Amino acid sequence: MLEPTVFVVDDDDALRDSLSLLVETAGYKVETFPAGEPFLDAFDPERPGCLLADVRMPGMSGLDLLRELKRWGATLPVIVITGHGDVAMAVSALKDGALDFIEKPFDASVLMDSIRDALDRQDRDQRSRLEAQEILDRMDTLTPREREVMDLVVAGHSNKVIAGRLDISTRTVEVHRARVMEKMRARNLSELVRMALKVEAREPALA
Amino acid sequence: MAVESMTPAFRAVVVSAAFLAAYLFLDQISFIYAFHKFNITPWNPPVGLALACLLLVGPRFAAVIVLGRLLGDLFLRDMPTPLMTSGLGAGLIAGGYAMAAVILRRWIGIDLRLSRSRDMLWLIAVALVTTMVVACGYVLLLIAFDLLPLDAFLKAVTRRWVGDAIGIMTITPFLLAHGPALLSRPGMPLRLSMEKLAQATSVVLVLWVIFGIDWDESGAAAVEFQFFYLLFLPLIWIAVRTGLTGVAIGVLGTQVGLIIAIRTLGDYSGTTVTALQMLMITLAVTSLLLGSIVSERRRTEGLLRDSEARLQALVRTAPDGIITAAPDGTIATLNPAAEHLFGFAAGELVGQPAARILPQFDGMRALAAAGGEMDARRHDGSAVPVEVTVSETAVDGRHLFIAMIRDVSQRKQIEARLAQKQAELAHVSRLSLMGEMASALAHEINQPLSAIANYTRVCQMLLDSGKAAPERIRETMDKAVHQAERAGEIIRRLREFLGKGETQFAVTPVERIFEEVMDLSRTGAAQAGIALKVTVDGHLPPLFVDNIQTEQVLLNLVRNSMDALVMSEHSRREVVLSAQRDGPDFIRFTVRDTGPGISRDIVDQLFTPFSTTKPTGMGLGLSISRSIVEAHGGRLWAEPDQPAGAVFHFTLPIAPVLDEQHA
Repeated sequence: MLEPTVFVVDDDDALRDSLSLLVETAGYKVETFPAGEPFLDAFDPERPGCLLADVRMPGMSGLDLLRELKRWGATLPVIVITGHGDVAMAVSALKDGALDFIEKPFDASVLMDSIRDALDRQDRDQRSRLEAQEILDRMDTLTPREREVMDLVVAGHSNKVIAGRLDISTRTVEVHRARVMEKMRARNLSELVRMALKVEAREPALA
Repeated sequence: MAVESMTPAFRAVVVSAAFLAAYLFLDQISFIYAFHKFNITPWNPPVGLALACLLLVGPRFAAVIVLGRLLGDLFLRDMPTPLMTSGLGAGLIAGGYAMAAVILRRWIGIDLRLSRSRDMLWLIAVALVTTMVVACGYVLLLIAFDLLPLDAFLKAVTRRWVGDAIGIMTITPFLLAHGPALLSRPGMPLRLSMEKLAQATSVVLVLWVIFGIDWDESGAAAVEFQFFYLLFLPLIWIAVRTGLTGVAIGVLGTQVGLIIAIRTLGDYSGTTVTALQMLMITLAVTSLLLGSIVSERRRTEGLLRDSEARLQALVRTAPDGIITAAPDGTIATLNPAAEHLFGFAAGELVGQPAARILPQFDGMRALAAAGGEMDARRHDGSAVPVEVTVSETAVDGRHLFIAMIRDVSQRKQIEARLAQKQAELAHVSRLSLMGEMASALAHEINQPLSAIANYTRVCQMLLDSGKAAPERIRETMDKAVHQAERAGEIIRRLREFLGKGETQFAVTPVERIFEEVMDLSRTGAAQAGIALKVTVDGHLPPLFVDNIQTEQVLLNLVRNSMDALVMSEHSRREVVLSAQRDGPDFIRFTVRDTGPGISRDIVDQLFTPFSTTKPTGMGLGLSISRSIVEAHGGRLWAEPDQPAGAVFHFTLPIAPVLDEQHA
């Protein structure tokens, strides 16, 4: 898995530099951009990390940047930096999907907490997405009949009922079921159900 | 049945019938002293009637005239000529006078009421020429048909001409002057008066003197000619007194009287009568012209009087002063508005020089060229701002200047008040601009402050790690220092703005500072239910300060108190402003409120920039205020731990007393 990067977008040179230094000193990989456009140009949805953006910037504002990322379907967590008492800005940033906002002038520890939280969340998110992907990959190896049997097993039906539904013998159902457990690498029924639920939660259309 | 309400065809028949009746009547009574039995008589009033009708109705009326003429020959004269000659004669006469009517109406365009002497002159001239032409034509016609010998030509033409001319002179002006009135209001339009009666009597008397008294035993008519001029006297009297309308009646009456006198009082030959009629033509022409001139004059005078009256009313009621003056500035006339404006009694300024009311007066022409606003002097010596517009005009070659003078004192007052309001507005906006500026700068200052916080945090982290290179730490600290300098620069800019060469020290009364601050705070205080009070300790000497900056300081303290009271929810909300003497050189201002007060813990932070207890505060007000007060040489401090609320004091210098003898 790639090392996460903290992307800093701020038009103020000193603030950008000090933020970069701070984040770097705290042990994260940092990339800085003086405005929203160059950041979007370099944006790679595959790269994990989080975005730290000033709300008030000439040209594309922090809110514009946030909306653009959302439009692209990017999952990168965003922390916006607002001016002191700029409550209205902070509220609209949260509404537009920002993970958090911090007020200037800020305490570095608050910022660090926020970054850590963002990265953790992103990491968890990434992990769960990868896990779901793995399950999906395994499900792809099932034959159509095995898939039907798995769906009915997960739905809680007994072998007998499944045999009746699919108009096959109970014995055949048992064989399919054993193949499903093997292909899905499920040690028991509860593990299979958990896998199915995970996939369903993430991508309901495939379930 | 009124003439106007008839159908056009029926009206034509009625008018024609009435005309024929009148025509034949006049023909009948005037067919006297006929020349060779032809219609050549010393007086021919039908011709006058015919011309009047042709003028009033139009040339198409000629057909009716032809008919009248033929009927006259048929019934009154027993056809003295063959029908063909009568017809040709009738056509000649009707055509000739129709032509005269067309010339008068279309070409010359006379006014049919003969309102101008020009109209009368043209009527007489055209009548004399036309009658001459018609007379020649008619007599030649008779000669051509062998009804008259050639050698009678001159005599016949003269008689015919004189008869027609006197017929027109007596009848046509009378009908034109009175005909329309007679038609609409039947009955004589003549209101009898003693004078008119006397005039009529005098005509009769003169006629009797001429014809009634048997002056010459021989019976020769010479005396009648000698005394004829006497008739001029009553007719000139009538003309001068009554104008055209009267004289038209007078001429007709005189002619009728003359004919009656000739017929009854003597035995005259046709030739003598014609000669008398020639004298009558002279009399008629003279009196008619005189009458029309008198009428025209009267009418013109009436119009002039009317126009003069309007003009007078206009000038009299004009709201602006209107003065006419000679080129040297001597006032000729002035209207009531001007007298009122300058406070003079009516007529008091007439003949006075204009310089008496316009001190800067420098000749009328210069005034006309310059015009504009100036100060005028009133009777009581006071000045009044006026706007003067002078125009020059020439009346009968004399130059006259007309000055319109408008009192602009009210406008000036409004302008002055407007200027004052604008100054006040500028004052208030400057105060609020400071607030906005502070807000903008506070926003800007956030950037270096955040950067400083970040850099120092980095330094801490590097130091904590214990393995960072000292250069790295030093470099980061340099950056932090640099940002601190940037913040300092912003603060300096704020200070510069506040001081921006606009600090204007002036002698300012303490009361004025309080008034301004109270004006700006009153509304907000009332809305928040806060009582604002001012107590000034006796009579205080004036301050020597920049009043706007001073007001800003006091206003800031009052606002702080009000904000604290609003947040505190205290039941008693009061802010007291007071001022008292503090040593020989200072006055101490105190702002005291009933809010939560200031604890000793935070009193040290109060004046630090960007420290605030307000949710939306910038934390700049008190630090700026302290800068201002210190720039004035005073002090600003807070009293902590007061039981009643917050107390702030500041001192400002008293204006130095100038010793006149050493100044």
